[in-house]
Amino acid sequence: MSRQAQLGADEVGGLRFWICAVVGLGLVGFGLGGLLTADLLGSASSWAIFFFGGLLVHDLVFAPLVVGASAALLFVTGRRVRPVVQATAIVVGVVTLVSLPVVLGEGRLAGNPSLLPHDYGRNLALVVGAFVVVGVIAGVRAKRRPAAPDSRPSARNHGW
Amino acid sequence: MVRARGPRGVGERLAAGQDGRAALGSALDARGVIPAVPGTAFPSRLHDERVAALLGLWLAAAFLTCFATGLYSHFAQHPLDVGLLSMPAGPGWLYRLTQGIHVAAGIVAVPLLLAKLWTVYPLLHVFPPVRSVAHLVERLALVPLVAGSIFQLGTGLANIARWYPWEFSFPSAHYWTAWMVIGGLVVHIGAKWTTTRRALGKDARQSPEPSGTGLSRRGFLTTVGLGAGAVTLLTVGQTLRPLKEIALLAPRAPDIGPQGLPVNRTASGAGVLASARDPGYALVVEGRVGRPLRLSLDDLRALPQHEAEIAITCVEGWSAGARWGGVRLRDVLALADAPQDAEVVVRSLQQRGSYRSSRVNVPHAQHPDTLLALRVNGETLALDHGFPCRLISPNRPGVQQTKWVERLEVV
Repeated sequence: MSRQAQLGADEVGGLRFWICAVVGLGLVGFGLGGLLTADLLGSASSWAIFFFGGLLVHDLVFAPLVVGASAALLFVTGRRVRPVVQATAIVVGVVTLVSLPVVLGEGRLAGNPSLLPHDYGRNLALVVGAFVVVGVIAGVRAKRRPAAPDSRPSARNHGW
Repeated sequence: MVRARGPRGVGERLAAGQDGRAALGSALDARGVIPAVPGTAFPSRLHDERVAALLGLWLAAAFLTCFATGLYSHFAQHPLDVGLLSMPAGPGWLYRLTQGIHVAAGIVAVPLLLAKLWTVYPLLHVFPPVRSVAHLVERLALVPLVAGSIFQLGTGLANIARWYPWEFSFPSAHYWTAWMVIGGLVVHIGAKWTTTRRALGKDARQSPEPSGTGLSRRGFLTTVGLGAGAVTLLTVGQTLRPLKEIALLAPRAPDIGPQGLPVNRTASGAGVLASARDPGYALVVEGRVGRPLRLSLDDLRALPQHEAEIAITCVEGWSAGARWGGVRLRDVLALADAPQDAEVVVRSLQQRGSYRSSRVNVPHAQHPDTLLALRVNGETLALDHGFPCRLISPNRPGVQQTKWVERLEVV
């Protein structure tokens, strides 16, 4: 059996699972009940839009884009620089995503300079630039290195 | 899952030693489409159960940290007043620590969640979609878990940047959705217990790196750790002052604002510009008191003055220490002949808004550092910090440090 066939291949069930399922679904019900009776001020629909919207945007837009970008990366990168390009893309992507709310600056309020006090667009550019520079240096070094040994089981068998 | 056939998909072609480009190309040629089966459509060796298990473990730690610190913050603002759940007045750094950790753990969880969802993404397309009743329950419980995780982190990130593109009440939604996420997590732990134990065990640790190009499993996890470290270092300086110079992406700087302190609600935003500057201002003390009081600003200044080092600590994860000066709340209560077990409702001049009053429990009311502050860092309070008089008390969420105090109701 190949390693990847193992992902999710285990059968679910047994006493432990059902105890967890009852307790967990109870907690889900407690949260949902609280939401529906809490002081959401008639905005349960707005909650639902963001709750399910986030899931759909991730599964149907964001994840396929990342999968597509990863596949595209196979075509444009050589074997030796590929790990460096992937790592740089991941770190830059994470930092950009996390900083999106401050970069967009929708929370700024006239008369309160302590809110979002920095020039976040410039700061993000600086941070991304720094990571790209490090990535390029690492990539050049990886390219100059003598051909890396193939990372097949026979060649690298020291596990994690 | 047994597939007794040759290497037809990208993953299997890669595993068989083909170059990525050739593997993807020939998989597409052979089948016309990218097949939606784990291990074939998704060529990366990183779709691996040990990667998933390690990310899951880290993510669970981050979520449980967020949940515990979140509950603490919730009950600080909505006290149950049952034993340990009552908010203590000390140590003064406690809420600053728990809420700083709450927001930092939430930010760290963003790269962990994305990496985890990516690692197990092939399972979204598993066929058949449901294998048993237990499998159905497991997959249904992923809806509150995954949707809730995305919701909590997404709206949480927007909230700390004070961006509210929705109509629900954020504190209420964040609190109740957290229970749904934790419930989904409990089901998920039950479903993945066996798999996770195997994946974290010695055999899995010693199993060789699968063939393929690009990041190794270890390299991928290191990269995710780098991403998590980067977003932490770039933001945590909003509460951890030594790191403030590198907090390039933090929504707040602990020393930017009037009198060097950040402000959430300004005097103008609270609509108190006129009432706070009214020369006829007086602080009213009433309720369960032997002697109701009406103290002008000069009366307050004439009472014994004290100073206390207290950090303003916002639920949004920033904090800023300052030296406050003013009258002890307990001195005013004694002057009004209030009983020792009195709680106090502190009301602001502010006419609207959820945070225009707060309740002070007995430990806080009697604490020597709980002040009706008139000064900060030696200067008269700025309007935005609550002039003429604000409450400041150790180990309390910032929204409860009521500004522009107009009335104390002893209950």
